[in-house]
Amino acid sequence: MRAHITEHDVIEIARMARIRLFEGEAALLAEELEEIVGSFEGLLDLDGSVAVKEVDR
Amino acid sequence: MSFGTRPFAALGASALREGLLDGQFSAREAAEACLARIGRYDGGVGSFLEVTPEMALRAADEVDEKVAMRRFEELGPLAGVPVAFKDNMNLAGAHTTCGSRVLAGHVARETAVCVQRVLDAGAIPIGKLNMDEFAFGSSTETSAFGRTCNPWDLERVPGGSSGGSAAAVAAGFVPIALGSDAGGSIRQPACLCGVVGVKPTYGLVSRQGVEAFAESLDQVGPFTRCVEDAALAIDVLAGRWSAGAWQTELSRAVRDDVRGMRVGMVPSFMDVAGLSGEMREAVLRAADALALQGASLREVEIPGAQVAMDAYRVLGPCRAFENLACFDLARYGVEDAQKLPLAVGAEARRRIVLGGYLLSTDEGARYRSAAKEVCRRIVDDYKHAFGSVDVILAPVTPRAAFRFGEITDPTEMHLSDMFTVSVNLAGNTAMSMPMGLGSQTGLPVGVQIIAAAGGEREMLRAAAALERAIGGPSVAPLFSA
Repeated sequence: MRAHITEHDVIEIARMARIRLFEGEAALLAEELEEIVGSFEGLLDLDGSVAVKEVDR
Repeated sequence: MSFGTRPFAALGASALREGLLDGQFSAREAAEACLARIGRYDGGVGSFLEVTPEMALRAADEVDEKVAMRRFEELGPLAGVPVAFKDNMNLAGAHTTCGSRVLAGHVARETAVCVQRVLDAGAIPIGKLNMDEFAFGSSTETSAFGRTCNPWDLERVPGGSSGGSAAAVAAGFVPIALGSDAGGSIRQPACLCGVVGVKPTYGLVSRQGVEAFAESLDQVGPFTRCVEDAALAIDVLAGRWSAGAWQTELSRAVRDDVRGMRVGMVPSFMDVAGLSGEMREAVLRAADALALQGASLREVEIPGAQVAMDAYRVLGPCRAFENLACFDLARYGVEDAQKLPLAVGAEARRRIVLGGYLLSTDEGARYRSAAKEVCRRIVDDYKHAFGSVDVILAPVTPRAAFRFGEITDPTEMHLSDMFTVSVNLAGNTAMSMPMGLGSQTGLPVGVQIIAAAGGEREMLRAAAALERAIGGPSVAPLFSA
């Protein structure tokens, strides 16, 4: 499920962190962050096991 | 400038000490030669943010006085060796900016423990080195104070975030520089600049007095042009040396051979899309070189490493947000801190806002929890692997140094650290070892040697064996005159 991050969210976080954003940057960051956060889905799907074997070289 | 038949720039710490004790040159002469070289060439590299000649010459005179009085028992293993520091490490009386305009003009009042240990060992403090702003980057392009160029090709990045440290050693300005590594910030620039770069075991070196990016991941380590110097520097940083002794436990251990050493390879690392042919070849050549010297090769897998980058991209920004939110600007001499919006750069803004989002939402909590689980898995994966092997060989970074501006997508930039972050998440030690020049680009390539926490001895033994087989790193040709 894609995260929904608004321009308002970004402005609020920037205010908390005392970061100066440029005009229009909040909207761009919101869009970019939605994509980044969406890419973390793989974290919820970790599987596999360790395998060790000799290599004949 | 040269001493005898050897160009000064090419000398490592051991050779410098020998020259000093043999009376070939004084510590002041060495320091002056170092400062002159920086003055002459660093304009084209941009590795230094600040040079500290007064401190350097004062420290050099103290060493010379001890030599003149034959008080050799008071000299540390880095006596007379010029060393420079990443600009997130405090050196009292010098600026600490972390590459950020926010801290421009800030002069440190105290000296970081890691810096003090190097100075106590007799090193000569040459200055502070450029870095990505608050260590947010992999190319040193995000520094507020201009770019650092790769000494092997001035149109290319040196890597980052400790790009100034790697470039200063590659250009022959100093034999040892300190950097910090939260996800690959020592190993990746070391690889791109063709020098040795070590991330010690988490907790081995004190971080007190080093401005934090992510405390749970950060570690201070050395850049050098030979393995023995790296071994020496690690022991000094860990406080494991005695006055009057020129060798340390690790610097002696690098002479041991690798017969019987069990070396692991990670097939899934080697099959990653985007790994360049020449970086892949570098790892395979390293494996062959170790096998020829008596090591045995095995395959191991670190399944958690597949999502290590995502875990790092969740946890790193959270720590960054917390650090900057807690940033007490008054401590840095910035007045009316609450009213002053931090004038941080674009990459820092991106990471801080991402961190704020992940720390303040339910969705963020879910990812943070998953990222921490990934860390636990990676710790177990490595523990399991190191039950069967002594060291693991892996790529350092997917490709050789790229051109300035070539990578603008932050996600793509993050991929520079795709082979290194799992080591930070697990708290292991790892290093980048130069493997000559790549067959495709003609630029430096390298191999990553990973060992279990506390496994520096095995790791450095393997590195020294590669150095004997492949040849050690050299000063970049543009600066070898």
